[in-house]
Amino acid sequence: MTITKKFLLKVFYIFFVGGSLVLGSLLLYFDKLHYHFSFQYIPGFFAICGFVFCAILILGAKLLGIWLVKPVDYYEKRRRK
Amino acid sequence: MAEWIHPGIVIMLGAFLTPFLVIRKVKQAYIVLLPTVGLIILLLTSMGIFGSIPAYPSALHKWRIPFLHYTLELGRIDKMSMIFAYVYVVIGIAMLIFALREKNDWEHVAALIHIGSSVSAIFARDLFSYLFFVEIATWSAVFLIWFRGTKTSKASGFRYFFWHVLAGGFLLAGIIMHVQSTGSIDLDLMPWGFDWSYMPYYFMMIGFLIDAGAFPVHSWLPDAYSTGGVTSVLYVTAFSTKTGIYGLIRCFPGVELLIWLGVITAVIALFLAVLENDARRLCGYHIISQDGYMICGAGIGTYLGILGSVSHIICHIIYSCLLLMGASTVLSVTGTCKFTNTGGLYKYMRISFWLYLIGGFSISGVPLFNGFVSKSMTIEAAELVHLPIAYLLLEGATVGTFLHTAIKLPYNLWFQGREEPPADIKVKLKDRSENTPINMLIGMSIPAFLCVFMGVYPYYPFYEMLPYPVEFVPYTITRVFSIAQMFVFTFLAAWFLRTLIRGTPTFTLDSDWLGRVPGNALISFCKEPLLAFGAFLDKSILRVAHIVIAYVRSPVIGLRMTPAGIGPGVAIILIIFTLLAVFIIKGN
Repeated sequence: MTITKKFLLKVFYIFFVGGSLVLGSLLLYFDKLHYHFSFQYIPGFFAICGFVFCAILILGAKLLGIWLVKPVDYYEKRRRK
Repeated sequence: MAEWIHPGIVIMLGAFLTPFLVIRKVKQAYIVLLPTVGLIILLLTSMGIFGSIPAYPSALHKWRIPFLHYTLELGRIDKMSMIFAYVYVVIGIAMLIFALREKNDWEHVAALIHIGSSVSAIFARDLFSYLFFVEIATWSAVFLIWFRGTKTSKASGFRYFFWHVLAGGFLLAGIIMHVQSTGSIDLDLMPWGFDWSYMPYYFMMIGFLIDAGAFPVHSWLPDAYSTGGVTSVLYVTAFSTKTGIYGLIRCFPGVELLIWLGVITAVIALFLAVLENDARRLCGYHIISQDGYMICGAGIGTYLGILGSVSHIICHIIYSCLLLMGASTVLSVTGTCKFTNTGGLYKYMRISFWLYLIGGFSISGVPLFNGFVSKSMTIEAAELVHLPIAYLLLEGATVGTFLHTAIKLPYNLWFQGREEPPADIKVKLKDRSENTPINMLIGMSIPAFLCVFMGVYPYYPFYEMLPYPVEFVPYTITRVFSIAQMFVFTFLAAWFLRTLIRGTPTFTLDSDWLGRVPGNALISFCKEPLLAFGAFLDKSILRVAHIVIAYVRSPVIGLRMTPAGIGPGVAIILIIFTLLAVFIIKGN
C-alpha cells in the first residue's frame, strides 16, 4: 500500500488528535499531571490553547493586514513622489 | 599563575592580519583558527589556569586599566560572562565555517571584529568599556549589512546605524548622569523606581531595549536582517541583540515593566510574522519574539527567571543561527528566499532542510531540543510568581513560533506541494543531489548538534555553566505531554487554515513607518513651508525695522515708506504691543 496524503491525515486525526485527547483525559483522571494554575486542569486545556491561539494568530494577523500590508515598492513609491 | 589573555581582543586584533594572507587555504584556516584560539583561552580559564572562578555574583578581576580617575576593567570573569563568551565564540566558529567560501576578505575582518567586540563587551565590567565595545560591534555590523551591496542593504545599514547610535546616545547619557550622581562606573545592579531621580536609569534602559530589539523599537531588526549580506548578516543576528539583553540582565533584573514589555514583544512580533513573505524577515521577527522571552525572564528576576533568561539566550543564539543559516543556504543557492518564488526544493536541498528543521523544532520548544529546556524554564518562572496572563501569552507565543518556524517557513521554502521548483530557480540548481556547499553543511551541523545534545542531556555541561545552581527538571510527564498536545492542535489549526499561511507578494508595515512616513513628512514640512514662513517673517520684521529707523531719522521719509511695509509689519508691531500691554497689566 502506498502512503497517500489521505492516509497520513487519517493517521494524524486518529492517533495524534484523538490519541492526545484520550491520553490527556487518562493522565488527568489518574492524577499524573501537576500544574500551577487551576485553569490548566480543564480537560483538553492545552489542545484548546494550541488550536485557539493558532487560529487567533493567523486570522488576527490577516485582519491587521488590512492596514499593514502594502505593495512591495511601497516606500520607493513614496520617495519618488 | 599565568597572566590572562583577553579572547575578545585577540580575535579583534588578529582579524586585521586576514587580508595579508595570500594563499587561500592558509587564509581560511587562519579565519577559523582565530576564534578557536579564543575558545582555547576560555577553556583554560574554566580550568582555573588563571585563577579559580568564584561562585556567581563574585568574579575574577583581570585587565584593570587606569583611565582619568576611574579604573576600567576589561576582564570580569564570572559564570555569567563565561557562558556568554563560550556561546559567542563557538557560534562564531560555526558561522565562519559557514561563510568560508566568501571571497571578500573584509567581510571576514568585519565578522571577526564583530565577534571579538561582542565578547569584549561581555567581559567588560565598567559601563564605559561596555559601551565602547558595543559601538565597535555596531560599526562592524553596519559593514556586514552593507556587504550585500544592494541599494536596499545600504539604506537599511544606515537605518541600523542610526538606531544603534540612538541606543548608544541614550546609554551614554544615562551613564554620564549615573556616574555624576553616584561616582560608580560598574555595569551592575542599578536602582529602579518611578521618580525624576531615576532618570539616568530610564535612559540606560531605553538604550538596552533598542539594542535588544524590544517592542516598539524593534523595527530596525527585520529590516537589517533581511537585507544584509547572504552570509555576513548571520553574525549581526546572533550577537547584537543578546549583548543588549545581557546589559538588562546585569543592570535591571526584577523590574516589573520588563515582564510586560517582554510578553508584548513576544506576541506582537508573531502577528507581524504571519504576514511576511521573506524567510529572513520572518526569522527576524522570531528573533524579536524570542528576545521577548528573555526580557520577560530578566523582568521576573527570580533565580529561575534569570536562569531562564540566560539559558534562553544561550539556546537562542544556537538555534537562531541555525534558522538563518537555513534561509541563507536557500538564498545563496537559488538567489531568493521569498516564499512566493520558492518551493519544491526538497529534492535538491535535503540535508539543509533537515538541519534547518532541527533549528525550527528547537525554537518552537519541541521536547528533546534545547529550546524546550530553556523556554520551559522561563515559562515555569512566570508560573511560579503567579502571573497567569503572562503565562498564557508566553504559551501563545510558543504556539506561534511552532506555526511559523516548524510549519510555515519549511513548507513554503522547501515544499508548497510542488515536486519541482519554479523554472527560474531550477536553472541555478545542478542535479537532484544536495546543492548546498559542504562548508555550509558543516557550519550548520555544529549548532544542530548542540541543539539536540543540549536538549537531550542538558545537565552537563550546560546546567553546570549557568550562573546559579539549577534544580529545574525539564522532562516531566506534565510538561512533555502538555506541549505535545498543544503542538498537535496547532498543526491541526494550521492545516485547516493552510491557504492563509502561504506567502503573498506584499510588504508589511512595521513601527518604522512612523519614522519613514510621518518623519519624512515632518522633515519636508520643516524644509519647505516652515523655512518659507521663516523667510517671510524675517523679511517683514526687517521691513518694519527699516520703517522705524526711517521715522526716527526723518518722519517725512518714514511716512513716504509706510504704505509699502504697512501690511505684515504693522500687524507684528501691533501683536508685540498687545503682548507687552498684557504683561504690563498683569504685572501690576
